[in-house]
Amino acid sequence: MSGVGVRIENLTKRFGSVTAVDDLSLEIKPGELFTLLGPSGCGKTTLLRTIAGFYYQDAGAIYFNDRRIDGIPPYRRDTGMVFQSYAVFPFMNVYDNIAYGLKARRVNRDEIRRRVLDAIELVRLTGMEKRRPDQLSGGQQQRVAVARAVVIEPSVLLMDEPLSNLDAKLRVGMRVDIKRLQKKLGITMIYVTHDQEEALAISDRIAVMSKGKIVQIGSPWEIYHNPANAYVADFIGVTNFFRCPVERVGKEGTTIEFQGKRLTVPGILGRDVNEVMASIRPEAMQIISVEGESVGSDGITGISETSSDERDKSLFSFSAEVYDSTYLGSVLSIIAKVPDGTEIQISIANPRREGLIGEGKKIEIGFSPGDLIIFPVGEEINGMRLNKQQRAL
Amino acid sequence: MADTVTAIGRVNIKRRLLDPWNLPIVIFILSFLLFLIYPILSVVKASLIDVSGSTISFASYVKFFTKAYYYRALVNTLLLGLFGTIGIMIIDIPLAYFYTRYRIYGQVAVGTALWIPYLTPAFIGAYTWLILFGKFGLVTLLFKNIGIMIPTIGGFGGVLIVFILSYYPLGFILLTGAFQTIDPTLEEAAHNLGASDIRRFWTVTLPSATPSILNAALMVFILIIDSFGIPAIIGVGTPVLTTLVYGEFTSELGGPPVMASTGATILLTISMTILVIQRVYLRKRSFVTSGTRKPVPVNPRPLKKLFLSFIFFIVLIVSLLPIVTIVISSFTKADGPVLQYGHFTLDHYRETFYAIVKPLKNSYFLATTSMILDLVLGSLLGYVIVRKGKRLATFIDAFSALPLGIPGVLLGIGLILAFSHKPMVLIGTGWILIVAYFVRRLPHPVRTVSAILSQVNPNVEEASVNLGVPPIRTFFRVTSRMIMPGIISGGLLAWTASVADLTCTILIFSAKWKTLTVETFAQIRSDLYGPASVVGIFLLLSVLIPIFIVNIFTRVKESS
Repeated sequence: MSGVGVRIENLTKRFGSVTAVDDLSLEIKPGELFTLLGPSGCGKTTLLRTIAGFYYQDAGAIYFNDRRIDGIPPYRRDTGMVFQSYAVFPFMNVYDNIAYGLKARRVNRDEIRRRVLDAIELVRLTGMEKRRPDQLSGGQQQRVAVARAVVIEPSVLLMDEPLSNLDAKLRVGMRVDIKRLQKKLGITMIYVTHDQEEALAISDRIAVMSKGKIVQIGSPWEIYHNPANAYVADFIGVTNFFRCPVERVGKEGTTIEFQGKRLTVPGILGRDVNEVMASIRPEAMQIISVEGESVGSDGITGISETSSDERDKSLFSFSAEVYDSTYLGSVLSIIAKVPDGTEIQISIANPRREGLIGEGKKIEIGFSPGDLIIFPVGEEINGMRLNKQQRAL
Repeated sequence: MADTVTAIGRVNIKRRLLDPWNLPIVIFILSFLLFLIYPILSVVKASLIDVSGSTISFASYVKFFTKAYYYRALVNTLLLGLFGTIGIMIIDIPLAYFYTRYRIYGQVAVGTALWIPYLTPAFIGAYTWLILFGKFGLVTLLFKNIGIMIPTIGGFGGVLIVFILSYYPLGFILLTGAFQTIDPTLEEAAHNLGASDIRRFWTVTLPSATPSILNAALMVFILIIDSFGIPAIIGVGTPVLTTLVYGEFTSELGGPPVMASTGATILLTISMTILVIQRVYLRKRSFVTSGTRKPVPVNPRPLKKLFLSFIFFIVLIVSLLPIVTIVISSFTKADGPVLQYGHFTLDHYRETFYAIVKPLKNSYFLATTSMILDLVLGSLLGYVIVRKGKRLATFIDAFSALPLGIPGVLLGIGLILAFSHKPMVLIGTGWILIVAYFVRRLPHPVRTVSAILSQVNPNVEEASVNLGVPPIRTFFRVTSRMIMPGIISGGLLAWTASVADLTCTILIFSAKWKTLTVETFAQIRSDLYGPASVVGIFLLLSVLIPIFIVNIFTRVKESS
């Protein structure tokens, strides 16, 4: 089975006065596992359902390879969709569920049998052919849904948040399975999720969406390390924003005032920009010293392993006051306040220290300037709010 | 670019117009305009025609509200509705509460037995109370023999008691449903905070169930004021609106039925008001919580358990008394209304058998035909309400529920007025009955189907379409399977209600299309208690048997 390329041209879909997908263009390579990522309401599911044919676009076109398919009704579009709610037919057993699409295609009985059994083996449900959906766990039902979509050998597999109804551990296992299955079959897959970790884990490429538009397309690494703007930086993972005045824009980059000190970062946002948003990831920072604690033999405060020599030379440092620290097993997460009141988050991986850092303790924080990215002021606001909400959830 | 946008826009509009789901909507709206709205308007119009027969006048309403002969019926109707509803709630609230919260002896038997009087056509129930407590009633005569004169059932008080006895099973079923959907954690919280059982009932259970109680009260009220059979059989000398309208209509046959129409219009106004209150006010006030747990009945202290069991034992007896009475009566020698108990006979069956066959066939044919029409249109409408657009759904939902507030006598007169002349003459045919049943019972499948479908994730249907099965075929292959329980229960409700219908049928039947209910009513009215019991039993069985068969089927299916 060789994959099909998907091309979307200037697609617009409105619901009343709401524009869910806004003049969106996109190209997906054959055999690619492509993820649409964004918060709820960003238009990703609408886009997927328009590709499946459940919605009809207000403008634009959709192509599978070079064939325009947006006029074809959903039942002849030859896509295989896996729904968030599984949507297995409750009155059919596993075998009949998976055979459903093949029967609709009038495949002969022997071949149906062969292909269904293959699909059952593929999703590791062998022996459960006669079970009814209510005798299966959520994960098993989702496997039936995947098998049912795969068995018809569709041009494109469409996955609409397929894992979000499963519990956390199962989710991680299933996403590995889905990725391996997709690679094995070489089928083109469009995967919709709001879970950025899932997107990073599973995708060949990710399109980050906001308000019906694509904000950035790239590999997981590009999206995380070179976010196109503050929205992406904020939505993917967690980041800290600092509002910084610009001192000078020159050949070597932009020189900003960061927490009272001068710092030059590569990249220019424009000649007449006098303020930027500087972003730095929690895990890119480390704690150099804690007020009233002596330097231990395994690092200054026993917090991380880095030797003091390394740190001193390359790190840019600033001070903050601890607001809260939380031990999460693999990570020690610290929320601190810088003098202007901004809250920042620092993650210390593999914490060696036993006990938390008390509220109100002054700490010295260091990071290497290369990890700092600057963005124009204003873009991040929406994203930051969203991210706060998600954290609250 | 702009051209393609408008072109696609045009395609979208065309898609919407060609949507096959528009067909049931159009059929529904046209049929309701023709068979419901037009007849209603005909009645309202007839009530406004003055003596000369041409100009509009309110003379009939002035006459209605000034002459005691007329307004007495209105007063009786309202008082019976009010006292009947209050009485039923006073009985049902404690019964339903005890039944859902405490273990008693024979709990299942009581629960099952209460369905029998609930399903019994009200006038059959009334008739059995007459057999027991009427002028020649079994109990009356027993007391007479030992020298005690007990008051015979009849008059306002008699009608009120029979209303309560006939409709409290419905109230009980509705209220146990309400008490069972209260989140048990609420009551556990009340206990945990130190409330006693009694305090818990007044402060948590009752307030949580209040919207459901009011809802049940309104349903009971509408049933009482629309009832024809009970006041017609028990309430000689106590006119109510339905019997007044029937009497006026049959005596006004020569001229336009002005006073009958006036009474029917007033009755319509009352029941529509109730329906509007129910929909607008109560819909927003449901506290019913969708917890996964149901309250579990607990074992009370032994003495309390005995006491409660005794109360429910009485309920059981009262529930089964009518059916036992009617069966015994059918085998008892009779001289008109006087039954000679102890003298066994098969005469009634022998004499009545041939008289039953035709009404039985008629009733089954009419109810089945109208049920099929209701099921086809009702399931499609239920689908449209749940799956297609909000604005349209609200309208169809409300419009299709309208017959629930239309009194049977009004629809009966309306159909006669509307379809007794060209171009459409239905009077004297079976069609008029089919139309009446179809319109009156359509709300049942619409409601049962939409209730079930709203629990079904639309993704299931989309999955079928996605796998290559077009929408209409998906409806029959997948959706219909998922909503089958709703179709079955909706069909059952529609069928049994049509077979048991007297209120509307009594006005529109013709000699050729006599139904079981009409036949039974005629026998009762002629004081032929023996044959009446036989016909009544056939009517009762026709209603009970299908429901028990379906119940057994679903139980077998659930357990497998």
